[in-house]
Formats: sequence, C-alpha cells, structure tokens
Amino acid sequence: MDQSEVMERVVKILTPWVKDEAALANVSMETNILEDLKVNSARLVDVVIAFEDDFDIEIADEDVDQVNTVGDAVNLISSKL
Amino acid sequence: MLGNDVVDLRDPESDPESFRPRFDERVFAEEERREIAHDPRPLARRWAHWAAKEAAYKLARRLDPGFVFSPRTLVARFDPLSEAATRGPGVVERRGRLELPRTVGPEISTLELRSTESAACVHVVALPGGFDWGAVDVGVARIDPAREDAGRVARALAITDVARSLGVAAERLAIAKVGRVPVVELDGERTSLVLSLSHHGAWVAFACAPGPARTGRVRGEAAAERTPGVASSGGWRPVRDGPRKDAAGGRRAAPDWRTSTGGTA
Ligand SMILES: CC(C)(COP(=O)(O)OP(=O)(O)OC[C@H]1O[C@@H](n2cnc3c(N)ncnc32)[C@H](O)[C@@H]1OP(=O)(O)O)[C@@H](O)C(=O)NCCC(=O)NCCS
Repeated sequence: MDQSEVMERVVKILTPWVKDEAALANVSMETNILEDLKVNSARLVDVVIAFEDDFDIEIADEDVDQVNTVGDAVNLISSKL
Repeated sequence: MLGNDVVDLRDPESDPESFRPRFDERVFAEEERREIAHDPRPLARRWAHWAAKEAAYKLARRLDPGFVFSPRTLVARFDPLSEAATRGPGVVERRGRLELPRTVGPEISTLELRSTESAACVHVVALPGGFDWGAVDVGVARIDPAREDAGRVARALAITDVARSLGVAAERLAIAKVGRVPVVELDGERTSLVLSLSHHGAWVAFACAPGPARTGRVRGEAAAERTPGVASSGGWRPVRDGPRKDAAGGRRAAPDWRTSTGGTA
C-alpha cells in the first residue's frame, strides 16, 4: 500500500471526529491531530483502535505518544504494514 | 504540581456507544470497568476515571517529559459516594487516589483525586499526595462552543480567578505556553504558580496552585527563548491572553462553579 493510500484511509477514519472543518479541508502530513483538527484525546484512543482494525496492525501506547500530526500517523502505520 | 481535566457529559462524543467495543479494555483496568458498571451514575463514573488519567498524565508529563500516556496503567480508585460528598444541588464530589506506574519529579508516585460531578460535566483535579487542597484554585464554566474559543475562555477564566486570589489586577497576569504547557506570568515575569487547563464540548476548566520556587529551567524547556513573541521549538510562543474583555466577558467574570477545594481567595 503506498503512502497516499494510507493517508487517504487515515483521513477517512479521522473525518467524523474533526471539529475544525477548515483544517480538514486543508489537511496535510503536517496537520496536527489534536491541535488543528481538534480531535479530543479520548477519541484519539478510539481512532488508534480504528487504525489497528482497519490496517490489521498493533499500535502500542508508546507509539501513540510519538504521534502528533497526520504524517506521524501515516508513517507509523506504513512502518507496520 | 497538579493536573486537571473536564468532560462534557452531554456532548454526543461522551456517549459510550460512540466508541469501538475495544475502547474500554484499552483504557480502563478491569477493576475500573467493574466499578463503572456498578456505579449508580455510570456515565459520570466512566468519565471521572478517564479525566483522572488525563489529569494524572498532565501532572506527570510536566515533571517527566518521557512519561507516556498509557491509560490502562493509570488506575483511578475512588471512594464510595456519601451524603457528605454533596457539594450543592445536583453536584457531588468523589475523592480518590491514583498510583503512578513510576515515580516522577521529587518522589511523586501517589496522587490524590477530587472529581466534581453534575449531570452536565465531570471535572477532576489530581494533586501529589499530601498536598494542601486548600491552596488550590479551581474554576469550571460553561461556554457556547459554536461562538467561543474554548482555549481562550479557559485562559481568561484562570486569569480572572487567579488574579482575584492573588489580590492583583487581572491586567498584570498573562498565560504563556512552554511547548503545550501553560505557565502564569505576573508583570511579564514567570511565576511559580502551576496551572492546568482543560476544555471539552461546552465546558472549560482550570486548576492552579502554588508550585515550588523556581530555581532554574523546567526540564525540556528550550534555553533562553524567553523573549516574548519569539517563537522557537519547544520554547515560548506568543500566546498571551489578558482577562476576557469581549461582550460576554462579564458573564464569565465568575465561573459557573468556583468549587473545590477551598480556593485561595
Ligand atoms: C495533553 C492531553 C492529555 C490533553 O488532553 P485533551 O483532552 O486533548 O485536552 P484538554 O482540553 O483536557 O487539555 C488541553 C490543555 O492541556 C494543556 N496541555 C497540553 N499538553 C500538556 C502537557 N503535556 N502537560 C500539561 N498540560 C498540557 C494545555 O493547556 C492545553 O490547552 P490548549 O489546548 O488550550 O493549549 C492530550 O492532548 C495528550 O497529549 N494525550 C496523550 C496522547 C494520547 O492521547 N494518547 C493515546 C494513547 S492510546
């Protein structure tokens, strides 16, 4: 799976929980999930579970701690595929 | 040192059904899941456990930048609710403890928790064991999230309240950020006050207490980037808020709850 496909699926999973539509419209690898998209932190855990289910991977809490941006999530997921 | 977290119970995202089935298992220890299931107020109880984890994480992360948010290892234990715990019509307080998985800062491992709960929201404050709760200033307020910037209102609420507690004009206080962590400034100088902010849905909250006298730089803080307005990675950002002055400002001069714990005012 190439990176753009991972990105597309990551954004699709995040979309229902995004509070800032403008940030979503301009989403990029640099977009911050908590601060720009304003996804709340409980939902972030749920999103991580969705990444695990959707990509059939496991993501440890230590990995999540390194994820700030959409790009961090895409790179983390790509590294586990 | 302290941490706080607020949860809007009426936000659609607080509905447990909106989470994946594995969420509870990933986030709550088995004993917490049991307590939530048996609590007469299961929704408030569930989010009190979550907020306790977040408050503990905010506290621990300030002292140890390598502290990882691993929610299931941050187990909140609350005492049973009693009549004495009632704080006003429809508002109760739960007290509890949380054992950190490892010691942070100056030998801090046990935290005390106070969760103030109404039908609308849960607000948890975490302090190191033995800390004087009477010295903690707490405010919780409802906002209109469609019209107001929650982060800004939380900072303004804190400024107004802390200024009152200190007996200084609110104009002399400002809140800056070191990385993502808020710090309180008086006349442009960083104070030793420890401030924690939180916002969720229609609620904003803060908790503030005196910290240890500053003897140096906070671990992880960038060197010398103190000049206001000069952005630098991990250093000071030009995020400064005076007291709230917009049209609705008067309404928020006093928080909806000025709870807790005594307060310093
Ligand atoms: C720090 C954190 C707990 C904040 O929680 P939140 O529900 O997103 O937001 P809250 O409104 O409760 O708190 C936000 C405030 O906390 C403060 N804050 C942010 N990072 C902080 C930190 N590391 N330490 C202390 N306070 C912090 C800021 O004042 C912030 O206010 P702002 O957004 O207006 O700048 C969250 O962003 C986080 O980093 N969580 C850990 C990562 C995670 O969720 N992992 C999932 C594991 S499966």
